[in-house]
Amino acid sequence: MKKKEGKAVYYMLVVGLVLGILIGINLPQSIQVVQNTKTYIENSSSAELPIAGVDNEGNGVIGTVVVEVKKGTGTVSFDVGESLKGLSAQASALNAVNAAESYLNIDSSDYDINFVVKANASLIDGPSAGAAMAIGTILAFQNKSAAEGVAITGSIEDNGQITPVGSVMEKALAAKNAGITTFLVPEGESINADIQRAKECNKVNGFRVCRIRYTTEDVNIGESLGINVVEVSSIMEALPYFE
Amino acid sequence: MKARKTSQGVGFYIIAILLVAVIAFSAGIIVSGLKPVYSGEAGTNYAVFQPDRTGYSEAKMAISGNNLSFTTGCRELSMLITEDQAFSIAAGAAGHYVRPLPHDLMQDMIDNMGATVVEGRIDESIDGIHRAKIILQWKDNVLDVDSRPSDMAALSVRMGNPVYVSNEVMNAYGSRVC
Repeated sequence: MKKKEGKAVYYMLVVGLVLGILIGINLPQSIQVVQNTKTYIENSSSAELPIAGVDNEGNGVIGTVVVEVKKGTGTVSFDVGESLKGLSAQASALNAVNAAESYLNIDSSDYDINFVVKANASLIDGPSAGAAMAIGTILAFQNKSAAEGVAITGSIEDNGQITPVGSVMEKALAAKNAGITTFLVPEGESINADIQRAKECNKVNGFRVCRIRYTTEDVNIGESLGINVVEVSSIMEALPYFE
Repeated sequence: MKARKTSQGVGFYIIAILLVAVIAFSAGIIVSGLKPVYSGEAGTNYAVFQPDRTGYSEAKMAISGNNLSFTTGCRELSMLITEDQAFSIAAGAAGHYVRPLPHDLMQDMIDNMGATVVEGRIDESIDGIHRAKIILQWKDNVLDVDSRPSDMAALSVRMGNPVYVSNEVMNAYGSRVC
């Protein structure tokens, strides 16, 4: 009897071990908060990154975001100078701070974080600078400056996931024109679905029959523009490009 | 004698001309019947365009919440659509007007240009996304245009045209309901 119980306990331990390994392997990288890269700064620090957006006419524009971190009371501010600021951009600044806290495994309530956005646009809005703001916050906390020639577009979740945004082709073109050589984009967005409209008319049984068709052609953004476009799904994947 | 001959000749020519005119008139009517003349109302004098329906079955449409479905026999093809599209289909099916929605505008334009919708059809699915076509006729012109299934449905409930689903799409993506 005891032998049987012993065997059962043994099997349970083996099953538990296998399950644990499987769950561990399958956990999204971004929520494996085991980085423990605590790097508290002395007084203040800042990091500057390029950000990509679109203007009112849908053209890509490149601006900058400076993340300033200093000892304080836990406030997060979003400064856009003369431009107007939209709610979703401000919300993504908060997400960026949460994602940075999660990645660094720190509590930033003893620090004030200020995002200064400079872009040639009358309205600064949208979530696509979220990933850049999160990376800027991490680099500022780590007292590091961002590598040159790299930019990222992507929305950011509190857990560090980078999620899709719009107008990637236009942003990539603006990035290339601004001298950026590596452009990081959310997963699945290095390919642009180019939709073409075509009209063709023929005579059929005495009728003039015209067909209008919308066809989708996948275009590799990097290849078509001549810029290194890399897909990233989380801050962990994106950060090495800026270090 | 000479004068009499001349008078008979004139009568003969008049009758001959009238006869030719009558024959030409009849021929004109027959020809016009074969190749109709536009009278301002589509379909009244023009033959109705008959698309090739091989491999298609006529479907009944239904909308429930945001779920749009097409049923042919015992198979149902259903798809989730946006709330505004679902509202437009339901409003169109009920003949209920709120403000002119885009599909109401489409109906007004098609109606008042003397055109008709011959049929709507779902004919292919690419990457799991169903594609539809709307076939319109105006006089002897036919327009076969790409559409989202929900736009095709919203227009079809307003225009009262039949809707067809490709058997291939139905067999691949439809579910058995009876």
